[in-house]
Amino acid sequence: MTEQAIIAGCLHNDSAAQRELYNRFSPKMLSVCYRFAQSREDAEDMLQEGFIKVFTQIHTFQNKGAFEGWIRRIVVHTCINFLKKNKKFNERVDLDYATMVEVREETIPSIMQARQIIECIRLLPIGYRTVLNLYAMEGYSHKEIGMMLDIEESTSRSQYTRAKSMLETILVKKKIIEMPKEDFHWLAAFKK
Amino acid sequence: MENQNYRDELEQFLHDEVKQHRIYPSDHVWKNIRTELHGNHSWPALSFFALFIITALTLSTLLINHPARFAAHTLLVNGQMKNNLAASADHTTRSVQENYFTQMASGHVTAATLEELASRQTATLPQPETVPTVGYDAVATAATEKTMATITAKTTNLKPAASLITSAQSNKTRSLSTSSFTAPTDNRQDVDTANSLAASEKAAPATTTETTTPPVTENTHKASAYAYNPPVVINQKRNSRVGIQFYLTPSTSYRKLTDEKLKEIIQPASNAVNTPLSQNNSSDVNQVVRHKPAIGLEFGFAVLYNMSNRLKFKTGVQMNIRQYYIETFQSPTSDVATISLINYRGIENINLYSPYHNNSGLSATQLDNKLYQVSIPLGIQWEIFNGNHWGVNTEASVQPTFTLNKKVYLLSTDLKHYADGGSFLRKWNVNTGVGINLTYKTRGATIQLGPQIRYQHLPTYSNLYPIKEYLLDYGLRLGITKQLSK
Repeated sequence: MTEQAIIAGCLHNDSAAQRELYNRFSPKMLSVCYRFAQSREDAEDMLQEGFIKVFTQIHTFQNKGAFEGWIRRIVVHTCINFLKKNKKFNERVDLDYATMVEVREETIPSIMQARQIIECIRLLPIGYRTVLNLYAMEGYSHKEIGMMLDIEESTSRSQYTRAKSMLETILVKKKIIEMPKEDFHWLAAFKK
Repeated sequence: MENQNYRDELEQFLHDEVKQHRIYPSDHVWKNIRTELHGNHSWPALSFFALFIITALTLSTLLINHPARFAAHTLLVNGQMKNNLAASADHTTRSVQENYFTQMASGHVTAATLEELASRQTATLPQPETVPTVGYDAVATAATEKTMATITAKTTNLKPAASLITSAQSNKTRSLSTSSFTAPTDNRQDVDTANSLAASEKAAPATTTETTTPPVTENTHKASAYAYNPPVVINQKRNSRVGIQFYLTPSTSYRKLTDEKLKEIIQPASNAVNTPLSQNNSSDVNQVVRHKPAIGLEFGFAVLYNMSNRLKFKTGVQMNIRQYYIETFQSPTSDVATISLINYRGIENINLYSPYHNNSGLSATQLDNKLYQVSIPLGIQWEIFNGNHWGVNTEASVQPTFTLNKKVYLLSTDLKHYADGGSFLRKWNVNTGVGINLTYKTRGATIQLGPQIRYQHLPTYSNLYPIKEYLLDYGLRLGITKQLSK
């Protein structure tokens, strides 16, 4: 079924088209939700709300840009609203606590590293994690992030810096990446 | 977004590794989404089972345990009523009255009395309806046997002669000529009658000198009431045309698959575009899949209406549980199961995910495809042989059927996987049932036992799905029928 056929079917509330759309995009979107959520259950709740919005607002899709990108934006906004609604932004976790958490083993070797990285991202405090996801993964600007999270743009920048540093430390400790060489590190270049 | 043009190494690393990562959601997520969008149209099977049982019990209680009503044949009697009480064929009114009243109250009732009663009856009482002959016989039978009928008498304003006899009985010393009809001392309407009777009695010569008062029994009152044209109610038990039946049919379900559309449309199209479905599968789908029948159950209640001595119309409510087993293999991971649908736009492929493989996998497993259906059978029952106790009948019915299931296992169109096909399940279907029964009549009911075949006419799944499944049940029906009485 082509993407246009899916969209046309969903506009007519065709359950087969809706099912096809869901089957095609839900695995990626659940991965997105999982990076924002505290647990798998929260992630599935976010996914469920996101797709309901997709199906009810599909008539607003104007065929400008990729359909997947449009769905992703709806899902991301749904995740943010879910976190706001459940007041998840007040947690504080320091770096040492983050490094003590074990990352779960992945059963499928081909995606082990990706899953481990996601688990490392989920070790971050929720505020750091959200800003990191929005900036590094979803491509939002700090200004847009500030508007979405009701924070200042400068706060978004500082939180992102701290998140990236924390994540880097976790990834190194988990031996997923090597310690970056100082001459390629932007701070090292600045210091020089 | 400002960072689209610049990413450092870490961001690029994260983006490359994580962006294409997938996590497959649980089944309940889609179910919740579907329910939110389309509502919950399915009938909760448990609630419907409970409603069905309650309805059946309530209906049977009302129909079977309702107090029996006896057909009333009211016989209104005029002067001809007296003929029915005579044992002989002579229907002269006076002889009947004389015989009867003489028997009941010998010594008190004279010919003059009867004449006076007859004259008053004609003058003052409304003319009753003529009673058919059968009623007269019934009355005669009832009067003599005192078993099948109860006779109730309605009295009119006039006090019957029996009461006058009763009054006379209170005074044993009175003679017939002077005291038999002594007027009662209370102010009832019949005082004038009693007085007039007494006066007429005095005028007429006394034909009897007996002074003893005959015993006045209940029959005396009732019998004398006949002289005043009372209605007589005959109670007679009759069977109605309607019967109620409960039945239970353990059965075995078989399935047959046809893949004509798959070979004619799907496979040629997939060969042309080299999609994952492209394979030349010339073998019959029934040879590719492995399934075996399982025991199911049918139960219900029906109402039968006798259209004639042999032919009955039958309808009711019925529940069917049909199931068969599918032998598959299960893998630890889910693979893509492609379902190709044929609609007006052509062929559309829908991808589902399933760990169940038709041909190979980590471990053998057995799937249970169970269907819960409710139907309203409409049919006829023909009595082939109907003896005093034993009989043979045959029945046939058409059964509009509604399927209650949400989930069934569906074969993918590449014949390799089994996935959840609940979305493609046909909710409404039509079944036909035929059977032949051996019956045995007991005092209260008829028990029947016999084989039955039930065939599903429309495919189990939607017309969009190219592989057609038809179900056939063989069962042994046990039923009990009770004819209702009016």
